[in-house]
Amino acid sequence: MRILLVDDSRTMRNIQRKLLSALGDPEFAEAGDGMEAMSLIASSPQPFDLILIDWNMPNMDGHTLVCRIREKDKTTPLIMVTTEAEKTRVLEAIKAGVNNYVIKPFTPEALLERVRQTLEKRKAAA
Amino acid sequence: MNTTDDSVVSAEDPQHAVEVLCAPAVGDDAPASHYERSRLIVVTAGQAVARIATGADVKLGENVALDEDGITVRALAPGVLHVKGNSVSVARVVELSGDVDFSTGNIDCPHDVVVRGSILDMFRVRSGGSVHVGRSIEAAEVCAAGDIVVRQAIAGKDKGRCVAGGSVQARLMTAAHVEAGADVVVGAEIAHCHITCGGALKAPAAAVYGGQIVARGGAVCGELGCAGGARTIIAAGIDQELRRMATERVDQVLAEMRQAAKVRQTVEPLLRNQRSLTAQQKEKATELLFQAGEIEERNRSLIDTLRRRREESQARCREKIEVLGVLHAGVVLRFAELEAPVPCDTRGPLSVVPRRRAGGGRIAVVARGQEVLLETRSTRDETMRALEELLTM
Repeated sequence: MRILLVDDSRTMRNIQRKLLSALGDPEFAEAGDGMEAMSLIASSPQPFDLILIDWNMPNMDGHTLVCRIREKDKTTPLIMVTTEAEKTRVLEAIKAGVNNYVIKPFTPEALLERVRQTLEKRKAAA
Repeated sequence: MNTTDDSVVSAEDPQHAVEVLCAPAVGDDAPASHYERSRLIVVTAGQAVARIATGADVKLGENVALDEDGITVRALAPGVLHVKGNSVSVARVVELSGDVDFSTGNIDCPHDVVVRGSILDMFRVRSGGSVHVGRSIEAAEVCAAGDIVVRQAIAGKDKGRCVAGGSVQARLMTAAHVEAGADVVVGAEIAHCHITCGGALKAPAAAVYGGQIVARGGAVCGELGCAGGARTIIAAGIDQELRRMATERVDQVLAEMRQAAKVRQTVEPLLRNQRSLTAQQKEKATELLFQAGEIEERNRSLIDTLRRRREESQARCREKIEVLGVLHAGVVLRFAELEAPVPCDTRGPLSVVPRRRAGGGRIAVVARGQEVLLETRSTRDETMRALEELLTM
């Protein structure tokens, strides 16, 4: 499984990487902002199986990144992992095309649960 | 197969048809130490070990094969390279016809080691299998993953050390430091030794005096102590390895539990007031939650290991010392948290067992159907108590 982690905080990416290692032995790629994520997606020889995206990042934010991805790719599971907790923000993200939404601060169990849920739904839909 | 008697040819020797491609292993302090100048060439499976001169008639023995190039000899199994004249082989067992001394250097072998002679003072033998010694082990260091079997004596002179994952067997042991994962079996005498066995001490025909013995699986001795009064301490049913593990880990686990609790305490007020947190504080709270989770996970795994190890130990502990001859006055008998000196000589066969009751107990000597309770001192094993406390938390 190939997972792309997009967050401007290296610490947060490390946390996500360690937690998601519990899903077997996934292969990780990391980006510090939306622009970097777009170029990684474009240059990737095969699509990612899961992308975790932070909302607030420099250069290109998470919401814009989700919109850009969904312009071309309707299937890759996207999870927004963000401090943005307002209902309007959550709806905005869902409208843009995220499959799940995790609000920081999150517990390790909560993140893993959301990721599993998302992957299972994707599998069932395929 | 003898790997030391002129068996290894020099790569520069023009008279031989075989050129050895690897060198003997040397320790970190070589070449300053003559002890480290081993002549054994330990090889791994797949390693190119020798090259054959074109047209030479070379005999390939066990565990070697010729490469497609027709000149490179490769090891098929790990072991010790053996080259004698025109024959090449890899032996799975190191067998020395004489002593381990300056002619052999220290031995470090992944398989069994057989020494027909003795292992002399200050030498070291390490084996991934068992070590068999035809004569004696003197003040040497011998470590084996399996058994150590000595036909005559382990005479450590208070300097040598024998450590075996399996059992240790000898006819005599004097001033030796012996640690065995399984039984220690002695035929004639144990004098002034420090012995720890994960199994039982089995010395039904031996005089055992001086030093200290800790046998997790109980002990059987011929005679215990001596008229001269050499201080002899014997403990049964105590798991030294578990104690060592508890000493190292219990404090570490408790410290980490405190650390995890402190982290959770810090993050608790943040979680209660999430609406008022800045984005930065929310990220910090996630970090703290993850940190606490990681510490707790690490602790769970340490506690599980300790619990498994204690259960395994409980199944193998035997609180009984049997003496077939005389149990001499002055011997100190120990069981977990109980200790009693023997007040007078008692003729066997007899057995020594603890009689426990709430808050203490007594050590009893049972001979010919009669039981004598000894004046017993209750001791506190803080390490094991801390372990019990941790495992019941």
